Amino acid sequence: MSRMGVSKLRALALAACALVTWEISLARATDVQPLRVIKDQDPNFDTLFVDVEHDEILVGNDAQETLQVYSRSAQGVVAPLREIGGTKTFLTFPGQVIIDPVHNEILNVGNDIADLITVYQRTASGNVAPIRRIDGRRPQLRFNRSWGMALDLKNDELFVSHQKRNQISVFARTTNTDLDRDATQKRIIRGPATQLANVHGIFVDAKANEIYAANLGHQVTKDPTSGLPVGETHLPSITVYARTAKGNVAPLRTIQGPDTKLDNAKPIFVDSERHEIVVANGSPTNALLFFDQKAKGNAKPIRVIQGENTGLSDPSGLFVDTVHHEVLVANWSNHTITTYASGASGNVKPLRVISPSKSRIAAGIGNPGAIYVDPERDEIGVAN
Amino acid sequence: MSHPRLAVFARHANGQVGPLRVLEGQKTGISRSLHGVYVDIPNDEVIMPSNVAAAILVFSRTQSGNTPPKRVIQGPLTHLHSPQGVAVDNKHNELIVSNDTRLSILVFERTASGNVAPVREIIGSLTGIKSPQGIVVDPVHDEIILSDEGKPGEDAKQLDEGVKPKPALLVFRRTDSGNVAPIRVISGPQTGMLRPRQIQLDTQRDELVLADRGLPQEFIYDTPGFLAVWKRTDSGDVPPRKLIRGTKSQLTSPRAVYVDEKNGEYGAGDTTSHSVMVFPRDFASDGSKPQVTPPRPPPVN
Repeated sequence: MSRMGVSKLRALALAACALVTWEISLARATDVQPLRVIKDQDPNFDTLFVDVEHDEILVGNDAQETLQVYSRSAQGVVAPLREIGGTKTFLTFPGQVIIDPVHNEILNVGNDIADLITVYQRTASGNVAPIRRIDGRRPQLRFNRSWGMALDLKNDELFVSHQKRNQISVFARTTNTDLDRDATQKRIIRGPATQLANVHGIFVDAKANEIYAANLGHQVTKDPTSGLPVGETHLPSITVYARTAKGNVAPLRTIQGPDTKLDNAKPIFVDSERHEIVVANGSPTNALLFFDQKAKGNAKPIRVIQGENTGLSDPSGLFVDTVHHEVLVANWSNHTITTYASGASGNVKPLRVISPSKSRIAAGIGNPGAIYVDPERDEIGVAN
Repeated sequence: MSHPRLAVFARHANGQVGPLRVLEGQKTGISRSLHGVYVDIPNDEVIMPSNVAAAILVFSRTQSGNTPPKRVIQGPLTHLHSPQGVAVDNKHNELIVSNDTRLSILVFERTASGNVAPVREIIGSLTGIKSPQGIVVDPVHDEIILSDEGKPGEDAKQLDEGVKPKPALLVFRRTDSGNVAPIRVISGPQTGMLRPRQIQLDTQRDELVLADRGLPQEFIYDTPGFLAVWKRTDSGDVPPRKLIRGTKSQLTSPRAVYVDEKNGEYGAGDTTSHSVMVFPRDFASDGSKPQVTPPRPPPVN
């Protein structure tokens, strides 16, 4: 090759290098400090469970993605007794939490993008790894947005609801996909006959041998003529199944209709002492509804807790403590846990309010999936 | 935990502040996986998809509380199935929807309501649509731009091997219909794209601004997301012209983005930090906001 040829090639190579370098430099990231950040510094409580044996309340906090433990009898502005959080915990969008006093464990199901069940020692604290997990992203599981979870210690089973699948999964309590990657459900409840529609909270009453589910009413079915998917929006409902139900099974009972006052009701619990179903209507209705355990159809609630005095603010977690005769609520929008006397009704003040903060203001940005700006009116819209 | 709602904040809001108004509750029809929102300023409306009810909900812009939508598009004729992004073309009076499970782009009349068929649908193997997410329409250049996450590994083997999707920005002609190939594609390793989500068009600068949520690895965003900017006319495996990413930015997994042309700002909605950040649209290489040099005073004779 001539000197001229080499020189030309070198020039071309240099030009190419320069071009690549220019291109890469364009892609170099700039670490820009934000001018403003809208964010909650205080916890937003979305679930809770009471450990009557150890006198503790476990709450899920999705603002900082931690689990916190408070003294059950605490009142006012108090710090948590201990907190689980950090990268080793795999906590993302903590959903329903459960304390298993028999096996000394804490269970959490990750909502939203998580689809992961994590189990910890009951007294775990700090950035600790779970002792076992059920990974709902495994292809044999494909949870697709889990919300509720219930533990049946009598039959050693774990029940989980999946919002977008309109499904309830039942696992052996000790299922662990880290040990057995192919582990799967013992049974599932799913199909058009089930009436599961954007299912949220779930409760298992092992004594009555029944499963209770709270549905928001959104679903996609198939058009019988064209076979095309059809979006449907039904009234919200509570559906009740036999504990051992599986497949495309119809509910034993359904509570649904305008008299029920169900509105954005997500968490559900059964008061085994008073034989009542309790649900919490989310914001802006902010109410606790109590139904007879055997209610069905367009049934009116037998009692409602609602009003300014109640301190309810997007109630997202619910627990009935039959030992101390109390109903406890995790409020997502004001950083509080509120406690009411069992049997209370109307616009009642809570017996106790627990919060780690004096602030009752929350930005409440969960998972901002889309945003807009309206510069003419100086507004930002945030879709969760 | 999913708390489906539309919260409206003051543009200057900063810190732990409450919204000015909130639209939420059973009557709104708003449901989880709310991945799109569009404020239609000329018509004073806000449009959002309902992913789990396969519907498009149209509200008055200032609507709040537990109030029903003005219009709902829903039913078998609509072809809606997991709608994600929405955009309005005020010039041609059309509503554009990215339609995830059906892998299509739907175009409706802007005022469509009920069980109505789309006026056009872009669908088929030639389109390259694998996981449609954010969408914008450019009525000036007659284009629709779609962000697409690509298709991840499907079976257990692919999942275990970490088979990665091929994310892309797909550009179609605004009037395209049926099984058509995009006119331009931005995709490839140089783009740095991982999981592209909401996208906006900066009409002043003729740029596309993308929120990319990054890669969750075992539920930890070890490959954080970013905001990236391309020229609208970029094509192929090209790096972004600008990219905001890093610890100072606080971005972990941004799914959402806006461009405020009037005030020279970008907004980002971040999944795992549960926050909205606002950045300057212009910044120096060290990330600081550039100082505006005051004009020199006229020379004194």
